[in-house]
Amino acid sequence: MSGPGTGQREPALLRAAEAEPARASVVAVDVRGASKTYPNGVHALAPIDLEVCAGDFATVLGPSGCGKSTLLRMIGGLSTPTAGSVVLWPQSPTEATMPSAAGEGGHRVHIAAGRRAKTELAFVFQSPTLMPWASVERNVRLPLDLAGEADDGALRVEAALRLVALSDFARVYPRELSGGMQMRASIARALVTEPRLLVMDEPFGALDEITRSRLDRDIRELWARRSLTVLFVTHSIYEAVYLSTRVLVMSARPGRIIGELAIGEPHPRTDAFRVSERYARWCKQLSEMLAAGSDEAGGTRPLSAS
Amino acid sequence: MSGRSARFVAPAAVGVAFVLLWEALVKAFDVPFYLVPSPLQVLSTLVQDAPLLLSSLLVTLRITALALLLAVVLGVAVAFLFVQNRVLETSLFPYVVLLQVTPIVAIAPLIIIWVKDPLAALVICATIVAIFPVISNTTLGLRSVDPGLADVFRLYGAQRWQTLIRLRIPSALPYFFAGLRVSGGLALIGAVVAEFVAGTGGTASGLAYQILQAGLQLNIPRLFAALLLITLAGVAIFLLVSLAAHLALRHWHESELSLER
Repeated sequence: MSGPGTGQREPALLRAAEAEPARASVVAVDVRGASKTYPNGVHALAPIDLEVCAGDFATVLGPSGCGKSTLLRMIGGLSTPTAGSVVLWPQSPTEATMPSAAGEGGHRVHIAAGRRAKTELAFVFQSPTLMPWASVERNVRLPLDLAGEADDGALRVEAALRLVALSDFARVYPRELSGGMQMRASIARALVTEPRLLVMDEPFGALDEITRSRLDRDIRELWARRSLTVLFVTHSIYEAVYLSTRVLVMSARPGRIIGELAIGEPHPRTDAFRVSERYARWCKQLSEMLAAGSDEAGGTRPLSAS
Repeated sequence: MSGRSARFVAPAAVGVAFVLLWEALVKAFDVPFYLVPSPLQVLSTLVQDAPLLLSSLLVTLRITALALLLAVVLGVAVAFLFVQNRVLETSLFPYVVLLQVTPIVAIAPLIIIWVKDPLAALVICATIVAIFPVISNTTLGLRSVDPGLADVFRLYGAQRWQTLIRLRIPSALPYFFAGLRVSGGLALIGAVVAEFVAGTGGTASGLAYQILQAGLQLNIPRLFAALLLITLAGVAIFLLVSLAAHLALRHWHESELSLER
């Protein structure tokens, strides 16, 4: 079973425009010339330009250690760019700005703190990062408790747990859950704030293949159902093709974006898509881009499947 | 035998075997009671002198409990201060170590001279002995926060106090209880040592004083009975602290999970 466009020879970008949920041209993430050099001299990120629009499922793909997580941490407000700016929802009147580490005028980065900002972004980390001393329910409720939003907290927690199919496990402790279920709880914690932007840093990397496939499918369905904007990081080409509307390919350290591929495949993407010829073609194309990135230093090259 | 039973039966069996061997050796070699009394003699002395020994035990336990309480309150407070400010920790930690390495026997006479109330003096001595593990372990625990969880708290804009209460304190609990296990024993040792020092001046009537008196009178069975009570008090303190740790950590921390399985 595959999507409606299977087997047809249409331009990839056109197929994407027809098939994916409607995308407003609202910018969710605006990264301009952001770079990162750590105090120990490690140059993790070369200046990067990146724009993620509302409704995108954008995936950053690159080899281990290329700075993908650094980029995401800067977007999440957990790390400050050495130069350049990171702004979330730049058209929004609630946009928060502050100077970059370099202190240059006009550079702006998003501030994670602040009640409004909290609901604009949620982060899912590489590991579930759950409090082992608290039940699943209390873990999911954490962002609401920290923000002092307790009025409809129980309902929102219940809804978030239902979304990730963990309603029956609300009272158990994280250690009683499997790795996949812990990651679901982590996703529920991110969703409970009803974020406009969901940032996921290689969340399923430590899971077995079957669990990973199932969670990939779940997160893709959530994205479509909740009209989320997702920025996802992975080093798996297969995961990137299955999940994304856009894949941004990064080079090895110091990381920079060396290519972009629009995955023009319709939604829903079924399991059959993962064994289709088209899927293999997208993967091959991404693989070639990654290989080229490791061989040479080039600029951003928008590409599409043909 | 299940693992749970083995945890209690195995050490009890070792204890019984030791007592039987002791009884047998004393009988076999006809050891006089003023050198090594038999376990039966010690038990009968314990029953015979129960009013005297139990009232002394209560004195020692009172000093130990007050010292442990003070060590916990002050130790945790100091650890919180250290975690809030690295400069403070760097400046004061050497002096905390100084408290730990100074022999209590050497400073107890001074404290007993300076502090008029004998009970207060003994409690201070025992607190000095017991406080270091609480400070050291709690500070380490408050700093040993999962970096991923710390990121989650930062991401959601947690206030400093929220991070302390919801993240640092729960993270520090296993470390705190590890320190408390050591401190419990040290508080008792501190109390006994301080009593020894003060006891020579005839100002206390704890178990250490009874040991001193029994030694002077060559009442070795009573000396052994008092020793036995101190040992049992130490074991009871350890078990109480372990129970508290188990109740606090049993749902989530690896150190207590094996008991549940």
